[in-house]
Amino acid sequence: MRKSLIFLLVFSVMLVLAGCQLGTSSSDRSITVYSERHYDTDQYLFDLFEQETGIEVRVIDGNADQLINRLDNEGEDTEADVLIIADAGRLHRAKSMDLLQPVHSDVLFNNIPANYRDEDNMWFGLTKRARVLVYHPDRVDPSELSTYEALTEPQFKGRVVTRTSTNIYNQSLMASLIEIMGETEAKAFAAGLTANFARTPAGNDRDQAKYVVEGGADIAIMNTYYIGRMMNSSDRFEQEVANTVKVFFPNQNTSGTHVNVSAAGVTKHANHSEDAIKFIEFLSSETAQSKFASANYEYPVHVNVEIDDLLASWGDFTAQSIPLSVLGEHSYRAAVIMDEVGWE
Amino acid sequence: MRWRRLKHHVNLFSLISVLTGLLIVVPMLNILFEIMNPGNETWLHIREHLLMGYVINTLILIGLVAVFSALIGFLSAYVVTRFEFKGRALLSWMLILPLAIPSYIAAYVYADMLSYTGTFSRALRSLHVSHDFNIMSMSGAVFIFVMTLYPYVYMMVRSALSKQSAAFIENARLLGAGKFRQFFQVVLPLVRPALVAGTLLVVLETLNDYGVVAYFNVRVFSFAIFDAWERLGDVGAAIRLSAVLMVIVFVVIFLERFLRGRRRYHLHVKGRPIQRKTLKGINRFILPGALWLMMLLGFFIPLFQLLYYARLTYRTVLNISFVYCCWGFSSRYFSCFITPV
Repeated sequence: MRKSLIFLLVFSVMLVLAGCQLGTSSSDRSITVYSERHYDTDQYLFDLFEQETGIEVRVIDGNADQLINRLDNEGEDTEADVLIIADAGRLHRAKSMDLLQPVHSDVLFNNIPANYRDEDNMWFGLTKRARVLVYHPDRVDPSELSTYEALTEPQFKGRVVTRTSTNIYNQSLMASLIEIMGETEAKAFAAGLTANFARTPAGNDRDQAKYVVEGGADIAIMNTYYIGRMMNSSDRFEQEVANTVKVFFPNQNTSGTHVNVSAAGVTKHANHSEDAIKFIEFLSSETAQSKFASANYEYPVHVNVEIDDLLASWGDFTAQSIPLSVLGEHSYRAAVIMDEVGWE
Repeated sequence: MRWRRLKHHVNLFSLISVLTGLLIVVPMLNILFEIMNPGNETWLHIREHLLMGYVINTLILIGLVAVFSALIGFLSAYVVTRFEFKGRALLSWMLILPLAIPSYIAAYVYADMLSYTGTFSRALRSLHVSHDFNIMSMSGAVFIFVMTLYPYVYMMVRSALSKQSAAFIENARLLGAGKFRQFFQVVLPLVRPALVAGTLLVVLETLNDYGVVAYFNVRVFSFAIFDAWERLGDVGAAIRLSAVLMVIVFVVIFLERFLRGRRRYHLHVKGRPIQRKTLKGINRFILPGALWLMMLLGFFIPLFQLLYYARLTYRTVLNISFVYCCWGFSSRYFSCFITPV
């Protein structure tokens, strides 16, 4: 008898746990943000917004795909009012899954250049980052470097590293090249680049920079903000790596360097869409923009906001002029092409 | 008559077991039915370009991890139960500790230590030695899984060996069996069920890991499932891959059953436990040394590196919001239990 009682207890606890959700308290005026960005300054800005408007900001963290899937599963019952994601391609996916709603805000239209927001006003870019070439100055003369496409040439055989093809940054880079040069050329680029890899792709962007300093490769394709983060790392050896390598902006005389944004949209079933819009407007304002971007060594999208000193030291650059929504439109084909050419 | 016999078997205990079983099986059936549907474009793409690689990599990974963790788990259990040496009692429980280090954490720690800025590479550089062991690879993943999962085998085999009566071995010796024969025809068959069960656990843990293989870019099934879902945005293809993985798991489990056949070994024979032999000569150093080396690789090195990270970052992490966060988390979980009551 006692045994079965214990058994029953265990069983009911299991059921309770299975159906249990982490309860959250609700205040009078609040918005819920599903965010892929989790930096201390983000929280600082959210607090500032709360002070200015009295609207409480509740944040749920996760990676882009988890958050999008969660939104999709929750449907009309979702608590989320705002979705913040660090890649335009993923926001396009959220848009095509009908998870966002259009926003008409003159503030946003004024603050954010047209190519950094969705053509149907479903999402708005807030910070941008460039995918650049990072090289070792002892082994690479910057005059050797010109474009992404040039990296497929024979003199770069065994000298290039980048992350895996599963990485969204590479997928979006490929998507942008599909838009600019067409699928056939883009596939030839992917095949040529893969043939010049110094190793089978592994690790994150920092690992690529380390590999260059280590001598395994000469050139890494990576995002600018990783260099900024490594320069300010708690590990002084990472600082050393970041200070050794140099940044090169490719395609300056042609199609421009690939940029991507972290962006925000109001969810389709938001319960507080007005407050959600206010929140995104706040993040696009001049005051918020400098903090929001520099926290992660990114570029602000607002044209009037000055860029961080470190970024300024790398100089001005021309970015790809394509509307970023195409990154999402081509992301599937980009993934397929990378598989086909054997980019692991 | 049959009904009465059935009634004899139906009680709260069995009912709840069946219900719990159903809770687990229903989602699995859902996954298996997915195979019946015709594949879409994404699935065809995966089948043409990726599937073969996933199958081969998965088999290589679980094969190597199984062999090495069985070997290491068995040998360490054997040394600890059959021989007497200094530090034996300490080692015999410490060898379980690597289980406390999650594979993913070990992977991250080792990748960092062996990277250019890592402790290990820096130490070697200061001695003007360069290494080019690339841990972010298949062999690296095998190393990580073996070092963190072998305790499953070790625990099972150790308990089987320590329950083993001395009578079997002594009888074998009296009947004239040599050392090798004693080992291969008496000891090994007796611990075989434990060895196989432990190895099976290791294999299943390896199959369900995602962290290590994602970080090292070793393309096995768990990686493939996430990849299909996230990068290709196709849940259907991901479910299909899960179904294939489940088939592999069933094959592994049935293979084990088939190999075991109907043989049963009676371990629980009463009698004196085995007398441990005192290690002599050079073995006094080699065998315990090997065990300590494993402890170092599987536990102490990751642990010290984690403590080092803590020293680097505690100032930014340990603040009031961290305490608040922990408190909030625990109180929410707690209320989760209280509410239904």
